[in-house]
Amino acid sequence: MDAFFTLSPALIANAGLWIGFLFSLMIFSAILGDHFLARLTQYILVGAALGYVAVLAWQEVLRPRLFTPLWTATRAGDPADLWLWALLALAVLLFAAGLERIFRTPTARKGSGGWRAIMAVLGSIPLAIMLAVAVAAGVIGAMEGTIFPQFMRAAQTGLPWRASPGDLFLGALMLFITGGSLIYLRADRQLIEQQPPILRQVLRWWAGLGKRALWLAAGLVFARLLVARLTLLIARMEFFMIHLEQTGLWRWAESIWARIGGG
Amino acid sequence: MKSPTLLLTRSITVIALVAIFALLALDRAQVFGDALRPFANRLFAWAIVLGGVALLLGAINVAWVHLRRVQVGAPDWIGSLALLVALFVVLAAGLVDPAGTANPLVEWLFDAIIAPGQATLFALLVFFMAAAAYRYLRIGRPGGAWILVGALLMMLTQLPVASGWLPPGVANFTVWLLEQPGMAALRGALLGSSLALALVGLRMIVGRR
Amino acid sequence: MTAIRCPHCGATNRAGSNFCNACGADLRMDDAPLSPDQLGARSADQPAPSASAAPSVEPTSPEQDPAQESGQESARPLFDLGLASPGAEEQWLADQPWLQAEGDEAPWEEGDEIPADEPQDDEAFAPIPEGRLITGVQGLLSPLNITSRVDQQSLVSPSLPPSARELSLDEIRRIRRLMAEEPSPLPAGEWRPPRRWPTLRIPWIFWIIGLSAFLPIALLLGNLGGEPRQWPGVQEAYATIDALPPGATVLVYWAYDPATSGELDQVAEPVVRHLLDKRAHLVVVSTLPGGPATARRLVAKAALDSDARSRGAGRTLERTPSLPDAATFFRADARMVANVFLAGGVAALPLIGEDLPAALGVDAAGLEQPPALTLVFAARGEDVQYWLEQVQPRNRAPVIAVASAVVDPQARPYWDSGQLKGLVSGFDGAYSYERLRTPFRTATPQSERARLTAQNWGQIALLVVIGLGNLAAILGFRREA
Repeated sequence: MDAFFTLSPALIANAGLWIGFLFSLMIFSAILGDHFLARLTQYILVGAALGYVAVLAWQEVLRPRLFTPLWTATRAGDPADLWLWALLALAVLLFAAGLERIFRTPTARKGSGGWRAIMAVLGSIPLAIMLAVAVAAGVIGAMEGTIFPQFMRAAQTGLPWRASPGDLFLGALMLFITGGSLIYLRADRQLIEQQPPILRQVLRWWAGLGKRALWLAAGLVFARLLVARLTLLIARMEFFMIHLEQTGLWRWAESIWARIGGG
Repeated sequence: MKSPTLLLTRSITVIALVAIFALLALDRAQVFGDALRPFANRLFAWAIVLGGVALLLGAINVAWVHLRRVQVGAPDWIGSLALLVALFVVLAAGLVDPAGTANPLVEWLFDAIIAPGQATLFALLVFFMAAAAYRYLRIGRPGGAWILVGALLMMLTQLPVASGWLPPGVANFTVWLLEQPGMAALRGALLGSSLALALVGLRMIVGRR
Repeated sequence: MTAIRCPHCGATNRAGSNFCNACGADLRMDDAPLSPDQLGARSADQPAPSASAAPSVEPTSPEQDPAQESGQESARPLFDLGLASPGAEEQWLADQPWLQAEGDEAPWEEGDEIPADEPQDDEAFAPIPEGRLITGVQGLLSPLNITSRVDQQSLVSPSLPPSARELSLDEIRRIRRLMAEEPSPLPAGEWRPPRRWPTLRIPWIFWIIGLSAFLPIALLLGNLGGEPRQWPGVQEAYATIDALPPGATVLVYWAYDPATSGELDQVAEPVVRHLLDKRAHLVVVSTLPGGPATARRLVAKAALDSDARSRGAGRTLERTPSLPDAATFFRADARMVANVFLAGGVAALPLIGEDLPAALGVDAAGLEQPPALTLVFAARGEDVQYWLEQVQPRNRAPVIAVASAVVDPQARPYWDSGQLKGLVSGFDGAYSYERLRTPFRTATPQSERARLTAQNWGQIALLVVIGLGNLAAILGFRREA
């Protein structure tokens, strides 16, 4: 394989460019309507990407972080870290339980006694650990990285006691907007309706302010989203042009165009 | 009535949630100094390895689904076959070489198929976004005027050619919108989503779904 | 208030409507209204009742009837189309051209029409929930799903058993409704609403956008001039990186892959060049499978350029000439201390903050010094958020976001709170950063000029499309008035 690349690197690189170009064109053609070639390229893309992910999972994760340390310790005759063996057990349990679910026949009932039930229970241990780490890290991180600093900053900007009246008004307005959008997004509307009339009116007005500010922000986000996606298209067009120029196709097309136009 | 297996599974999940949340929270709060740090780090390292196993299972699952499609001759089974062939080629090239994804053939497949394919798929999004803008960015829709004003101001300000003729006041106003009311509203949204995440997480930890 | 449910997509419409507000289907065949209770019992967000829930092929038992369950006085189906008799469903299907296979109708025939019969501003009947435009902002609108075609022929095949056919019709409605809510490259074209002026067909929009991006690059159309705006945060990002001591360790969270590299490479490239000019040691981590490979290619490209500049050869890289080779990769690897993929998503991030060598899988000796700075190359706002929640509170290193244009407004709260030391986003952020890095540059490279020209034309085309949409809406309302 490597020898093949060494023998004709230019040819292989050119082939890669051509395949990438044709591949992109076929996917791009989906915009004109669904057809088999567009679907076929998407199947190939998904297959190649999955293979890549599997290789990466083995090469960058499982081998260096699990199997190599165990293998090295075993070969050296050292008792490997017990935690590593525990991790190996968890990984095997997860893999086995996953395979059982993937290859389960439609007639087999979920967790229907016997080894399937044992597998389901044991397989839930690594899953529970993954879920728990993600949830715990997510909750603690949200508190530390978003909720606390953002509340603090909102309070600081909203209540600048020693600021000029203009800044004080602006700060208070920003605090109102933050509070309003929070009420609009999170407050229970039935709870609002149950409040005394004056408070209900205030809360409605406040939520209305937040809603309008959110709409405005949505417009800003949408405009940035449009330009982000436009940039992706422009980059692809550039890719097509580079390819056409390198292969001489564009010059050929230009000469044809010049002949047609009499230029 | 819930099966014993289900009860056992749920119990394991709740116990793991409570224990791991307590461990990580105590560690972050430095209640026992750095004593819990090695355990917390070990859990994070485990999550990486178990995540790798989950990725492998995902690949096996898709491969199995498409293998069955080929077996039963489902519509587009040729596509499924192509998917399996592509998967096998990349997998074989990556696994036979210790270099893995740095293997020349895998690098070549990445540059020839994966990168152009993914980039082209995402480049198509602008067409759908434009169609969405045409249909929904309208003044008559709920909140349409507000959204439209925000979008038009931002589009005009970020348009390079407009820098020559757009009054500086308009551009400055857009920056002000972005940095003040827009930021304040999005801060509310951010706080709202983070609070929701925290509440859902805590409900899971206390065993309420 | 009374309403009728569309037999085509299941959306609720005001009683007396001639056409569905969501999909435009003809509602005049049945005006059976929904009472408020029924409306409450089945919100528009719930799956539409299948056609056979009313015109059931299999008779529904009274206890299964939702109308009876909710205490309605009549057990009359919502849409009694008289299909109880054998063969009636086929006849009903024949009367519903939108439920038939497309046959000889060419795709893309559907023009956009304003359903002028109903006011657009009635929130109770709006087919799009509020905030709809925010949905999918992260670019997760999968083209694979969008471009998929529903094979109606197979779904409503007469060979299917009745229960399967019910499911199929229900599925069709759901898909129709989704298609009515989201723009689709394949708007089946099976039903053509009454023609009104102006009609801009969706394919025309595609052509406008496609040509506006392609022609300026292909024909090097005249540059319209102008400069992208420098947004707040770019100057600060530049100053922070410029203040790094030579040889500093910089941690990079590479949160994009080839899917969004068309934009992110543009934004990241000047920043990476700046880091290489400062001889920074890059430590790259990614939670995306395609992240490390994308990083390797971009760093290689920037290293090539940096080497050429240090030799005094000026800017040599206009366009990448071919696929990267071994020598190119060698350049990249020489500039990176590590380039690691971490599985596990968010759960993997805290380890980066707590114990970087363990996260990288290297000896602590491999990292001579802790990171002086962190860069987050983010295609989504969440990537910045996750880093600031999971890693920054642990390692306390200053963070700069180098991101897609769409991330900018979402990251502003963090910029305002001081959690971000800089924010570079989008093509304009990239341009501004490069200007700061090379202030004495006189000539704009050809590739950059072409991109700017395409940006100008493309954005003008988008503005035109939005303008036409509003023109259509305004004209539609006027005619109704």
